[in-house]
Amino acid sequence: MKQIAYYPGCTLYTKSKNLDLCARETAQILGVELKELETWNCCGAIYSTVQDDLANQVAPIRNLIEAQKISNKLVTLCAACYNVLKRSNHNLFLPENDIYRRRMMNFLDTEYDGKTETVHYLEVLKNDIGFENLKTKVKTNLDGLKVASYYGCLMLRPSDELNFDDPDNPTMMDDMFAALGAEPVEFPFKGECCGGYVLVDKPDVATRCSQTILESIVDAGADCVATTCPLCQYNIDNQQKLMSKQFNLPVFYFTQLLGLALNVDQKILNLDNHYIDPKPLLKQKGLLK
Amino acid sequence: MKSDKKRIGVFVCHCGINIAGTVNIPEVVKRLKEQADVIEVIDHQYCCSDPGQNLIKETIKEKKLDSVVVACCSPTLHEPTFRKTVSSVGINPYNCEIANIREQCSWVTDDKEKATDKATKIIKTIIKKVEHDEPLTPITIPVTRKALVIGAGVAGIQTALDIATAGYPVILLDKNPSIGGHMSQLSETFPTLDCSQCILTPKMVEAKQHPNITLMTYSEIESISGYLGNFKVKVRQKAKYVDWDKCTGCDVCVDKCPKKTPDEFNHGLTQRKAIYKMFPQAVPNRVVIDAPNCLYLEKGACRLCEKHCPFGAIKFDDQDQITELEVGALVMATGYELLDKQMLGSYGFGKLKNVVDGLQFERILSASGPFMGEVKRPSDGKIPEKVVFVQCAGSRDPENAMAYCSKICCMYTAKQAILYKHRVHHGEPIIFYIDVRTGGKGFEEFYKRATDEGVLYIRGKVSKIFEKGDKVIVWGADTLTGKKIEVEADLVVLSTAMKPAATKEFAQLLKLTQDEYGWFTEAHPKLRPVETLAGGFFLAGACQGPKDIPEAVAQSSGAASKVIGLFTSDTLEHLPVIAGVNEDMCSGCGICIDVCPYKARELVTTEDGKKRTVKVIEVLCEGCGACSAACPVGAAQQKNFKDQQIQDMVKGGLE
Amino acid sequence: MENFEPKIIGFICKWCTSAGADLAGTSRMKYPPNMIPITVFCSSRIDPQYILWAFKNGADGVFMGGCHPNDCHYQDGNYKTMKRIPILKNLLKELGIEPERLRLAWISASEADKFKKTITEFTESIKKLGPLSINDK
Repeated sequence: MKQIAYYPGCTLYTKSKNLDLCARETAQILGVELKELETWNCCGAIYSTVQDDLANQVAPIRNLIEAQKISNKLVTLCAACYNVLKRSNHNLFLPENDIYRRRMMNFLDTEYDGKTETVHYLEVLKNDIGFENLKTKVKTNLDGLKVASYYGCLMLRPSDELNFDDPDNPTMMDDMFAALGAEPVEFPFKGECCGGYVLVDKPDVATRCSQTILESIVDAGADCVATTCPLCQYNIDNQQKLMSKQFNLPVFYFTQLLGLALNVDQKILNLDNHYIDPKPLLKQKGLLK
Repeated sequence: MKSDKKRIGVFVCHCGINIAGTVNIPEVVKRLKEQADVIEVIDHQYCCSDPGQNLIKETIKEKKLDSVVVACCSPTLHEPTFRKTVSSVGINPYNCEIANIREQCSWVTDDKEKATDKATKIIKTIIKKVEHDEPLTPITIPVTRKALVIGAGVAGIQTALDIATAGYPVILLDKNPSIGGHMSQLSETFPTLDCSQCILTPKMVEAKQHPNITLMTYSEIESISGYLGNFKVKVRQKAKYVDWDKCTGCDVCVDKCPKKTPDEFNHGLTQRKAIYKMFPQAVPNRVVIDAPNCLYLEKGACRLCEKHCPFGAIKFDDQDQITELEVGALVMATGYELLDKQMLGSYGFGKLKNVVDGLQFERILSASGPFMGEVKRPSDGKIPEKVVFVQCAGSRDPENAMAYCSKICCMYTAKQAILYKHRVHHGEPIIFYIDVRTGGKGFEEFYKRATDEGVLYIRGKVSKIFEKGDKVIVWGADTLTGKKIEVEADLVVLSTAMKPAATKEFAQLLKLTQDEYGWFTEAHPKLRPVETLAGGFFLAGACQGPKDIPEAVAQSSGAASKVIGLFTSDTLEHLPVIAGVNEDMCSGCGICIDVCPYKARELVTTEDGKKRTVKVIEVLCEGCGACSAACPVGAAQQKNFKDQQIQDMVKGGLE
Repeated sequence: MENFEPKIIGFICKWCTSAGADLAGTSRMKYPPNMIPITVFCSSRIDPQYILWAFKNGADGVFMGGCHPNDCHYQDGNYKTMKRIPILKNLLKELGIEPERLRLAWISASEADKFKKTITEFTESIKKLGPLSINDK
């Protein structure tokens, strides 16, 4: 089986176990082993924009170097990890950062040529496995489920560094859901900020951001939301209790719905770990017994 | 080759401090006097000034010079000046050469010592060249006194009328079935609010009726050959499937045609038939069949138009026709297009029905437009109560689209907002802008009028446009108050950037240069704005850069006057710096014939019939020198760029 | 080596590269003054022999500038140059001249910045290569 280096990150080990476990399991079914790095550390969490950020960048770069033991690709799921790992590598190998790179290598006491390409699990599904191929592997067709794919900000921007999908009109997750038989729903806020960054500081602002997104998703007629980012998931799911309007809209990780389509064990899907219980919806759609 | 040595004089210009500020001129003069084989070296503050030129003339006479080197600015600027100066005292102008020590030396370095070295070396290369320069006389060529104007918008029409009125025949060509261009689509024009069609249609008719103007509509350039004064242009007249000699433009066929397709003239806001007239005032007032949409031509059944045409004008077996034209000059008047809305992702990718571009809104405002001048929105025909105008949609936006300012949008947006307000009195026009630029006669007053009439200006860029129910939501920032703004609009008008209509392929076909965005490059940005570097090609209107109507018309008259100037004589002088053949050395191998891009060389047998050699058709030679480089024996020598000269120049530059 | 000032001959075409160089001047861009420009009508005028001649007469580097492909003022002169230069580069190797000492670039009349960058970079690279060794002999 093809092995690709895998970086789960901290949240996927704790709060977002369902994002992590579903990914590992579905990859296995689709013929790819997400091989977790032997040792890993914090991704850096927030991409640093200060002038001298050597200390901040050491963390992500160390993970990228570690990945080389397994493959030239490093798969990650959390949108924040993806953003930080990919941009750190990009930044380190800019021609103007020659001196900075040497300092980094001196500090880490190693050599690294920048060959580790950070990819998102969605990209593995699209490019390594292929959505057409995925279609043939579906056991439970998600027919009749209207899914709003919410990408959030970190996957898409800055687009010239991440090069993930069109920042104004991303379609990768929608295409995946179409392959699973679900109906992707168009709405204008696919890449808008959920407010997660200010959740602690200004919860009212954060709630307003996610409420705007949810409103447009409901207007568009979606049954549920799918996301890639633990922070977005928490913010859109958990914060519904604080909103001025009650939506009662389940918020999935995309890997959960993928797992559902591939008949992954319910224990792994972990559908109890949600504020808005998604089970009634899935039962109503005949996707869950 | 001359046996006696040339008497060369060198004149080094200070150009104020432009050269002297970096180059140590006395030192240059000293070194040249010591090292170069010249009669005299003199420096002057401004060689191009009258006293400077007089100094050159006096020195030539006094020292009996036969060749001159002027070390100054780029030869593109003052080569003609100094060549005229020396010829006034009897020196062949081609024995005067320029050493460029300003643009390519003093302005590009701060190191005075090195600049002095470089200047000396540059001058030495030119001295070496002059040593072997021959006196040359320009070659006389005939001029076909007939012009071709490509593009029949207001710029093309104006150019054609001006040239025709001066008495020279003009062919006015357009790719569309009718002349008129974008101006015929506009509602009213800023800042006077004249009706656009009312002022344009008389000009269109005048162009049609002018005895010196031949219209060639629905036509495209196929190929072009020849040179200044003597072009041969192949034009493809697209099959119209209608005999225009019989058609009267009565529109019976249009009524009967069952096939509908989006109307390009209304930018897709309405449908037209497969047989159609571009717009009611079309000139020529004739119909054409759009073959890909015609049921008969595509699927073999229908022929309703043929059945109902009272004049038997339908001609289903019509074919494209190739016509070869002989003209002396070409004027580009290919104009602009608007940036495709699909380029603007955050403004809805052109997918939102109630987000239109500037030209679409012109059609909505136009009395002959889709709603007969009533302001309605495309999705449901409702009268929009709140209209948001977004300026700089794709202009001044180097990250996503164009870096330049499209120049006309500030004014036309103000105009559209005023016109909207005139039609929908209780309506609320809101304009988002980065800056309002009102540089033009009556423009600032017009902007003031817009604000006085109740148009709300918000300074800030729009970040996102999306649909919510039947409203269009606009997110923007008010940078003056620092607040985020959300507007629930009924209709959004994007002032999308202007971009050139001429494609890269078209420019390459004509061998014209374009800038990075595709605007045609003028010969000089300030002093030769209507000419191109290619002889015989002129520019009119917005094909050169964003322009409003008066500017386009002014430039068109400028281009026309250049063409008229060219046509005042029936002959022209051709640059004599051409490649010749040394018959004694030529082995008749013919390699030079293959490399010549102009077919200026041909293989002949010498008069005594003993040997094959190459003959040069001097008029066709443009002097690229490719043959000189290719000739294996050195028989092909470009005049004043001989092998010996270039090799000596190299030496001069390395001494 | 630190103070080595290379001698560079630049064969540039009148319509594009020389005009681009003029624009660099008009825009007051700064680049090393080592290159001595020789303006010809078209890059296709340059017989490869001249380049060898330049090396023989003491040049440490030779620069060739022409119009972009398809933009040649003389229709296709630059295509001739495009073919000639790689052949000559192969030959240079055999003569013991580093092929990097010959640089061909397409620079249009509007690309002042490219001209500046190319010349700066080329001059630097020749500085790194040092003086042309055949000239020492």
